[in-house]
Amino acid sequence: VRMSRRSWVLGATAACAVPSSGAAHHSYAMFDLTRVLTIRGVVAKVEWVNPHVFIWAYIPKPGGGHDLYAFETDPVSRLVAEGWTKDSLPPGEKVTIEYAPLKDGRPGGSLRRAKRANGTMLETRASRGRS
Amino acid sequence: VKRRAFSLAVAALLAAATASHAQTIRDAPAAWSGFWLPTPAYVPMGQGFPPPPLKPEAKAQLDAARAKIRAGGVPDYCRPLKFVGYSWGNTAEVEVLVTPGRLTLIADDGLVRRIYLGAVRPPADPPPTNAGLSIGKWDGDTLVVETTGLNPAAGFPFPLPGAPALGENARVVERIRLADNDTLIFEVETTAPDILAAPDAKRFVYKRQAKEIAYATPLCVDDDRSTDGKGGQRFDMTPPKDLPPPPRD
Repeated sequence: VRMSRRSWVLGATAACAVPSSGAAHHSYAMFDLTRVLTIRGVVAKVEWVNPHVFIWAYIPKPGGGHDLYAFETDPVSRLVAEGWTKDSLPPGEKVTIEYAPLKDGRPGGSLRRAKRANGTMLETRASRGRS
Repeated sequence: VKRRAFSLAVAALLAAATASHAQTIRDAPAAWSGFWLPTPAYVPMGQGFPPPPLKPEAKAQLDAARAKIRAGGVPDYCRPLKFVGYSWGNTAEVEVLVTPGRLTLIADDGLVRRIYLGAVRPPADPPPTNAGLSIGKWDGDTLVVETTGLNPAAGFPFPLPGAPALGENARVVERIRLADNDTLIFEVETTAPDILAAPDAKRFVYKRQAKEIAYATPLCVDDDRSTDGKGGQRFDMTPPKDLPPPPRD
């Protein structure tokens, strides 16, 4: 059963108020956890590293060209538990990303979930209401 | 004749001692081996649990430490991990190794706990270590583990800068049992007279992870994009050097 957008945002907000143990090396104060934005773009690169996997994506700009976005997400072990592999988002693939934006306005944030071009949804702890 | 009788007596005593030792050492079932993940999938800084019954001064200290983290600080992530009953040893994924006379718990965060089974009498005043000294005894199918010799400087309940220190004479008692083949239960009670007004009791449910390769989650890494290595957090957006060019419009 998928949670409503509002409920899982609130759940994630509450859960992320303090960092988790596995990801407990920084807080989420830099992210606006009250908002979840959705953007579409092309995967540039996945940095499959601990303690946070980083996903880079080119997002088209209205007037042409692209912005480079960065999204922080779970450690490798947690993504593997969610069914991810390091090849789940190959470079060049179209992707739809839901994320909590950075408060400072830079292009990026904390990944909630990613939808592949084939419709497969890649979940994270945050998207499941636990962070 | 006397010498022969003495030899027989010594042999009998040794045999009895050996038999007694064999009876008191009981290894954990092989089914305990494997990788286990707490469910819900994490116990983030104690969320979902009642707060520990801290003494007022310790509670104020923890509240202040948490406020600093919420404001953008970072926990003591690049410091040696310390067992305090939960977290940094029992909240993330744990690998359980069953070997003769011992149970070893390797936390995903890196802390290694060795639980000695059987006829081992802990010293009265073990020197403090980050994992403590853990002795396990069986109560039916439940392994009761008593851990003493804990590092008094360990942050409680989490390694936050400024968190109250565990203090002297702390003790952790865990009751560990296999509820079914895929469920391992930890009932944990921490006693820390310096900071706790009453024992802090928690219950953790672990589910078996069916995977062939363990993925550790080191927190202390080089070039961490999320922290600056000086106690602050960041979001380093320096593009990777091998980033492919953007797609053509």
